[in-house]
Amino acid sequence: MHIPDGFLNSKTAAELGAAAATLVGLALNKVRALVTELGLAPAMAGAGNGVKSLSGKAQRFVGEAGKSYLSKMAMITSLVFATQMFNFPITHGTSGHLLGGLLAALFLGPWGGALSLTMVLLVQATLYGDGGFIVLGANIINMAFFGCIVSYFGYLLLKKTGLATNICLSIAAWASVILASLACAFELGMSGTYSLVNTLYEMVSVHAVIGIGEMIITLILVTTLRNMMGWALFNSEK
Amino acid sequence: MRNKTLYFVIILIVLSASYFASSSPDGLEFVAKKLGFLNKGLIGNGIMTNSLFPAFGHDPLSTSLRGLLGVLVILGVFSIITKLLTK
Repeated sequence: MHIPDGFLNSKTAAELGAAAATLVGLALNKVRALVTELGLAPAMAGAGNGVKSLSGKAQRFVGEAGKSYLSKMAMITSLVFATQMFNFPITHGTSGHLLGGLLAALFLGPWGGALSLTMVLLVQATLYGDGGFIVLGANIINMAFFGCIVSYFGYLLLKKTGLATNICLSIAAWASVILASLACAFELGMSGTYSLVNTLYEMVSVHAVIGIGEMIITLILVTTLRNMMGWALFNSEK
Repeated sequence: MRNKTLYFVIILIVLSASYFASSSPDGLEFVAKKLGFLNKGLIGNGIMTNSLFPAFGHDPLSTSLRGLLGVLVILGVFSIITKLLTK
Protein backbone atom coordinates (compact mmCIF):
# COMPACT_ATOMS: atom_id res chain seq x y z
CA MET A 1 0.00 0.00 0.00
CA HIS A 2 3.04 2.30 0.30
CA ILE A 3 3.12 4.30 -2.94
CA PRO A 4 6.68 4.72 -4.28
CA ASP A 5 7.84 7.91 -5.96
CA GLY A 6 7.01 7.92 -9.66
CA PHE A 7 3.52 6.38 -9.41
CA LEU A 8 1.77 9.74 -9.00
CA ASN A 9 2.24 12.88 -11.08
CA SER A 10 3.71 15.90 -9.33
CA LYS A 11 0.42 17.84 -9.26
CA THR A 12 -1.40 15.06 -7.41
CA ALA A 13 1.56 14.50 -5.09
CA ALA A 14 1.76 18.22 -4.24
CA GLU A 15 -1.98 18.54 -3.61
CA LEU A 16 -1.97 15.51 -1.34
CA GLY A 17 1.17 16.83 0.37
CA ALA A 18 -0.66 20.04 1.23
CA ALA A 19 -3.71 18.11 2.43
CA ALA A 20 -1.51 15.87 4.58
CA ALA A 21 0.33 18.85 6.11
CA THR A 22 -3.01 20.38 7.08
CA LEU A 23 -4.16 17.08 8.54
CA VAL A 24 -1.00 16.61 10.60
CA GLY A 25 -1.19 20.21 11.88
CA LEU A 26 -4.79 19.66 12.94
CA ALA A 27 -3.93 16.36 14.59
CA LEU A 28 -1.01 17.91 16.49
CA ASN A 29 -3.34 20.55 17.92
CA LYS A 30 -5.96 17.98 18.90
CA VAL A 31 -3.39 15.75 20.58
CA ARG A 32 -1.76 18.67 22.36
CA ALA A 33 -5.15 19.55 23.85
CA LEU A 34 -5.60 15.90 24.81
CA VAL A 35 -2.28 15.42 26.63
CA THR A 36 -2.23 18.76 28.43
CA GLU A 37 -4.52 20.04 31.14
CA LEU A 38 -5.16 23.55 32.34
CA GLY A 39 -3.94 24.32 35.82
CA LEU A 40 -0.85 24.94 37.84
CA ALA A 41 2.10 22.86 36.80
CA PRO A 42 3.12 20.59 39.72
CA ALA A 43 6.52 22.26 40.12
CA MET A 44 5.01 25.71 40.30
CA ALA A 45 2.23 24.68 42.64
CA GLY A 46 4.77 23.36 45.13
CA ALA A 47 6.83 26.53 44.99
CA GLY A 48 3.85 28.70 45.73
CA ASN A 49 3.41 27.58 49.33
CA GLY A 50 1.60 30.35 51.08
CA VAL A 51 2.40 32.78 48.30
CA LYS A 52 -0.61 33.82 46.29
CA SER A 53 1.39 35.07 43.36
CA LEU A 54 0.28 32.16 41.24
CA SER A 55 -3.33 33.28 41.05
CA GLY A 56 -4.53 33.50 37.47
CA LYS A 57 -1.27 32.06 36.21
CA ALA A 58 -2.82 28.76 35.14
CA GLN A 59 -1.22 27.30 32.05
CA ARG A 60 -1.35 24.12 30.03
CA PHE A 61 0.96 21.37 31.23
CA VAL A 62 1.35 17.64 30.73
CA GLY A 63 -0.02 15.81 33.75
CA GLU A 64 0.05 12.14 34.68
CA ALA A 65 -2.76 11.31 32.24
CA GLY A 66 -0.87 13.06 29.45
CA LYS A 67 2.35 11.19 30.26
CA SER A 68 0.60 7.85 30.21
CA TYR A 69 -1.08 8.76 26.88
CA LEU A 70 2.31 9.64 25.36
CA SER A 71 3.90 6.42 26.54
CA LYS A 72 0.94 4.47 25.16
CA MET A 73 1.38 6.32 21.87
CA ALA A 74 5.07 5.39 21.74
CA MET A 75 4.23 1.73 22.34
CA ILE A 76 1.42 1.61 19.78
CA THR A 77 3.52 3.37 17.15
CA SER A 78 6.37 0.90 17.56
CA LEU A 79 3.93 -2.01 17.63
CA VAL A 80 2.29 -0.88 14.37
CA PHE A 81 5.72 -0.37 12.82
CA ALA A 82 6.86 -3.83 13.91
CA THR A 83 3.68 -5.57 12.80
CA GLN A 84 3.76 -3.87 9.39
CA MET A 85 7.00 -5.77 8.76
CA PHE A 86 5.03 -9.04 8.77
CA ASN A 87 3.97 -9.76 5.22
CA PHE A 88 1.38 -12.50 5.21
CA PRO A 89 0.86 -14.40 1.96
CA ILE A 90 -2.53 -14.27 0.25
CA THR A 91 -3.67 -15.77 -3.08
CA HIS A 92 -2.04 -15.34 -6.52
CA GLY A 93 1.50 -14.78 -5.20
CA THR A 94 0.52 -11.65 -3.36
CA SER A 95 1.18 -10.63 0.20
CA GLY A 96 -0.38 -8.17 2.57
CA HIS A 97 0.57 -6.53 5.79
CA LEU A 98 -1.21 -4.78 8.62
CA LEU A 99 -1.90 -1.07 8.14
CA GLY A 100 -2.82 -0.63 11.79
CA GLY A 101 -4.79 2.60 11.39
CA LEU A 102 -7.88 1.36 13.17
CA LEU A 103 -5.80 -0.39 15.82
CA ALA A 104 -4.03 2.87 16.67
CA ALA A 105 -7.26 4.88 16.68
CA LEU A 106 -9.03 2.39 18.96
CA PHE A 107 -6.53 3.10 21.73
CA LEU A 108 -5.36 6.63 20.93
CA GLY A 109 -8.44 8.15 19.35
CA PRO A 110 -8.63 9.22 15.68
CA TRP A 111 -6.15 12.13 15.91
CA GLY A 112 -3.54 10.41 18.04
CA GLY A 113 -3.90 7.36 15.81
CA ALA A 114 -3.33 9.48 12.71
CA LEU A 115 -0.17 10.97 14.25
CA SER A 116 1.01 7.51 15.18
CA LEU A 117 0.55 6.28 11.59
CA THR A 118 2.22 9.42 10.22
CA MET A 119 5.22 8.70 12.41
CA VAL A 120 5.41 5.13 11.09
CA LEU A 121 5.22 6.34 7.48
CA LEU A 122 7.83 9.03 8.10
CA VAL A 123 10.29 6.52 9.57
CA GLN A 124 9.64 4.02 6.75
CA ALA A 125 10.20 6.66 4.06
CA THR A 126 13.31 8.26 5.57
CA LEU A 127 15.09 5.19 6.91
CA TYR A 128 14.06 2.52 4.43
CA GLY A 129 12.74 4.25 1.33
CA ASP A 130 9.54 2.24 1.86
CA GLY A 131 7.00 4.61 0.34
CA GLY A 132 8.38 7.56 -1.58
CA PHE A 133 9.28 10.86 0.01
CA ILE A 134 7.60 13.03 -2.65
CA VAL A 135 4.39 11.00 -2.31
CA LEU A 136 4.56 10.88 1.51
CA GLY A 137 1.50 13.15 1.63
CA ALA A 138 -0.47 10.65 -0.46
CA ASN A 139 0.52 7.80 1.82
CA ILE A 140 -0.45 9.85 4.90
CA ILE A 141 -3.85 10.65 3.38
CA ASN A 142 -4.46 7.00 2.45
CA MET A 143 -3.32 5.32 5.63
CA ALA A 144 -3.59 7.99 8.36
CA PHE A 145 -6.70 9.79 7.10
CA PHE A 146 -8.79 7.10 5.36
CA GLY A 147 -7.24 4.08 7.09
CA CYS A 148 -7.36 5.66 10.52
CA ILE A 149 -9.59 8.72 11.06
CA VAL A 150 -12.38 7.88 8.58
CA SER A 151 -12.35 4.21 9.59
CA TYR A 152 -12.57 5.13 13.25
CA PHE A 153 -15.65 7.27 12.64
CA GLY A 154 -17.08 4.34 10.69
CA TYR A 155 -16.44 2.18 13.75
CA LEU A 156 -18.26 4.69 15.98
CA LEU A 157 -21.25 4.65 13.60
CA LEU A 158 -21.33 0.85 13.72
CA LYS A 159 -21.20 0.98 17.52
CA LYS A 160 -24.36 3.10 17.49
CA THR A 161 -26.28 0.22 15.91
CA GLY A 162 -25.70 -1.74 19.11
CA LEU A 163 -23.48 -4.44 17.58
CA ALA A 164 -20.80 -6.00 19.81
CA THR A 165 -17.51 -4.08 19.97
CA ASN A 166 -15.48 -6.92 18.45
CA ILE A 167 -17.85 -7.21 15.49
CA CYS A 168 -17.76 -3.44 14.91
CA LEU A 169 -13.99 -3.28 15.03
CA SER A 170 -13.62 -6.31 12.75
CA ILE A 171 -15.83 -4.74 10.10
CA ALA A 172 -14.12 -1.37 10.47
CA ALA A 173 -10.64 -2.95 10.25
CA TRP A 174 -11.58 -4.69 6.99
CA ALA A 175 -13.17 -1.50 5.66
CA SER A 176 -10.09 0.55 6.59
CA VAL A 177 -7.98 -1.40 4.09
CA ILE A 178 -10.65 -1.07 1.38
CA LEU A 179 -10.93 2.68 2.02
CA ALA A 180 -7.17 3.18 1.85
CA SER A 181 -6.94 1.12 -1.34
CA LEU A 182 -9.84 3.09 -2.90
CA ALA A 183 -8.06 6.35 -2.08
CA CYS A 184 -4.82 4.98 -3.50
CA ALA A 185 -6.59 3.89 -6.72
CA PHE A 186 -8.21 7.33 -7.08
CA GLU A 187 -4.81 8.99 -6.76
CA LEU A 188 -3.34 6.68 -9.41
CA GLY A 189 -6.33 7.40 -11.67
CA MET A 190 -6.05 11.16 -11.08
CA SER A 191 -2.37 11.02 -11.98
CA GLY A 192 -3.21 9.28 -15.25
CA THR A 193 -1.01 6.34 -14.26
CA TYR A 194 -3.69 3.90 -15.43
CA SER A 195 -7.41 4.08 -16.15
CA LEU A 196 -9.33 4.87 -12.98
CA VAL A 197 -11.98 2.16 -13.34
CA ASN A 198 -9.49 -0.66 -13.90
CA THR A 199 -7.25 0.51 -11.07
CA LEU A 200 -10.21 0.77 -8.70
CA TYR A 201 -11.40 -2.72 -9.61
CA GLU A 202 -7.96 -4.34 -9.25
CA MET A 203 -7.02 -2.52 -6.04
CA VAL A 204 -10.30 -3.31 -4.30
CA SER A 205 -10.35 -6.96 -5.36
CA VAL A 206 -6.85 -7.60 -3.95
CA HIS A 207 -7.39 -5.56 -0.81
CA ALA A 208 -10.73 -7.20 -0.04
CA VAL A 209 -8.63 -10.29 0.77
CA ILE A 210 -5.80 -8.39 2.51
CA GLY A 211 -8.50 -6.73 4.64
CA ILE A 212 -9.34 -10.12 6.15
CA GLY A 213 -5.76 -10.28 7.46
CA GLU A 214 -6.12 -6.77 8.86
CA MET A 215 -9.35 -7.83 10.55
CA ILE A 216 -7.81 -10.91 12.19
CA ILE A 217 -4.59 -9.18 13.32
CA THR A 218 -6.47 -6.14 14.66
CA LEU A 219 -8.87 -8.37 16.60
CA ILE A 220 -6.00 -10.40 18.11
CA LEU A 221 -3.93 -7.33 19.01
CA VAL A 222 -6.85 -5.38 20.48
CA THR A 223 -7.92 -8.36 22.62
CA THR A 224 -4.32 -8.97 23.76
CA LEU A 225 -3.63 -5.32 24.59
CA ARG A 226 -6.90 -4.96 26.50
CA ASN A 227 -6.18 -8.06 28.56
CA MET A 228 -2.41 -7.96 28.90
CA MET A 229 -1.92 -4.22 29.28
CA GLY A 230 -5.31 -3.46 30.80
CA TRP A 231 -5.78 -0.68 28.25
CA ALA A 232 -9.26 0.67 27.77
CA LEU A 233 -10.50 1.58 24.32
CA PHE A 234 -10.35 5.31 23.62
CA ASN A 235 -13.42 7.05 24.97
CA SER A 236 -14.52 9.45 22.26
CA GLU A 237 -17.17 11.09 24.47
CA LYS A 238 -14.64 12.46 26.95
CA MET B 1 6.41 -4.30 34.31
CA ARG B 2 3.63 -4.72 31.75
CA ASN B 3 5.29 -2.09 29.58
CA LYS B 4 8.51 -4.11 29.60
CA THR B 5 6.61 -7.19 28.46
CA LEU B 6 5.09 -5.25 25.56
CA TYR B 7 8.49 -3.87 24.51
CA PHE B 8 9.83 -7.41 24.63
CA VAL B 9 6.98 -8.60 22.38
CA ILE B 10 7.56 -5.71 19.95
CA ILE B 11 11.27 -6.54 19.68
CA LEU B 12 10.40 -10.20 19.21
CA ILE B 13 8.00 -9.30 16.37
CA VAL B 14 10.62 -7.14 14.65
CA LEU B 15 13.37 -9.74 14.96
CA SER B 16 11.20 -12.60 13.72
CA ALA B 17 9.23 -10.68 11.05
CA SER B 18 11.85 -10.98 8.34
CA TYR B 19 12.07 -14.75 8.82
CA PHE B 20 8.35 -15.32 8.43
CA ALA B 21 7.55 -12.51 6.02
CA SER B 22 6.36 -13.44 2.56
CA SER B 23 8.55 -12.11 -0.22
CA SER B 24 5.59 -11.87 -2.63
CA PRO B 25 4.65 -8.36 -3.79
CA ASP B 26 2.10 -6.51 -1.69
CA GLY B 27 -1.36 -5.52 -2.95
CA LEU B 28 -0.29 -2.29 -4.66
CA GLU B 29 2.82 -3.84 -6.25
CA PHE B 30 0.72 -6.75 -7.49
CA VAL B 31 -1.78 -4.41 -9.14
CA ALA B 32 1.00 -2.22 -10.58
CA LYS B 33 2.64 -5.30 -12.08
CA LYS B 34 -0.63 -6.63 -13.48
CA LEU B 35 -1.61 -3.30 -15.04
CA GLY B 36 1.94 -2.69 -16.22
CA PHE B 37 2.96 0.47 -14.39
CA LEU B 38 5.31 -1.11 -11.85
CA ASN B 39 8.36 0.19 -13.74
CA LYS B 40 7.16 3.77 -13.21
CA GLY B 41 8.03 3.45 -9.53
CA LEU B 42 11.43 4.63 -8.41
CA ILE B 43 13.31 2.39 -6.03
CA GLY B 44 13.14 4.02 -2.64
CA ASN B 45 16.37 5.08 -1.06
CA GLY B 46 16.30 5.51 2.68
CA ILE B 47 19.07 6.32 5.12
CA MET B 48 19.44 2.70 6.16
CA THR B 49 19.14 1.17 2.71
CA ASN B 50 21.88 3.14 1.01
CA SER B 51 25.62 3.37 1.46
CA LEU B 52 25.42 4.65 5.02
CA PHE B 53 24.84 1.12 6.27
CA PRO B 54 26.89 -0.96 3.84
CA ALA B 55 27.17 -3.77 6.36
CA PHE B 56 23.46 -4.47 6.03
CA GLY B 57 22.60 -6.79 3.19
CA HIS B 58 19.23 -8.19 2.22
CA ASP B 59 19.39 -11.32 4.33
CA PRO B 60 16.75 -11.77 7.04
CA LEU B 61 19.12 -10.88 9.89
CA SER B 62 19.98 -7.52 8.31
CA THR B 63 16.28 -6.81 7.80
CA SER B 64 15.62 -7.64 11.45
CA LEU B 65 18.41 -5.40 12.70
CA ARG B 66 17.26 -2.61 10.44
CA GLY B 67 13.75 -3.01 11.84
CA LEU B 68 15.10 -2.95 15.38
CA LEU B 69 16.88 0.34 14.66
CA GLY B 70 13.57 1.70 13.32
CA VAL B 71 11.84 0.83 16.60
CA LEU B 72 14.64 2.50 18.56
CA VAL B 73 14.33 5.65 16.43
CA ILE B 74 10.56 5.78 17.05
CA LEU B 75 10.98 5.31 20.82
CA GLY B 76 13.79 7.88 20.86
CA VAL B 77 11.66 10.50 19.12
CA PHE B 78 8.79 9.89 21.54
CA SER B 79 11.07 10.14 24.57
CA ILE B 80 12.42 13.47 23.27
CA ILE B 81 8.88 14.77 22.67
CA THR B 82 7.81 13.69 26.16
CA LYS B 83 10.90 15.31 27.74
CA LEU B 84 10.30 18.56 25.87
CA LEU B 85 6.66 18.66 26.90
CA THR B 86 7.26 17.85 30.56
CA LYS B 87 10.49 19.77 31.19
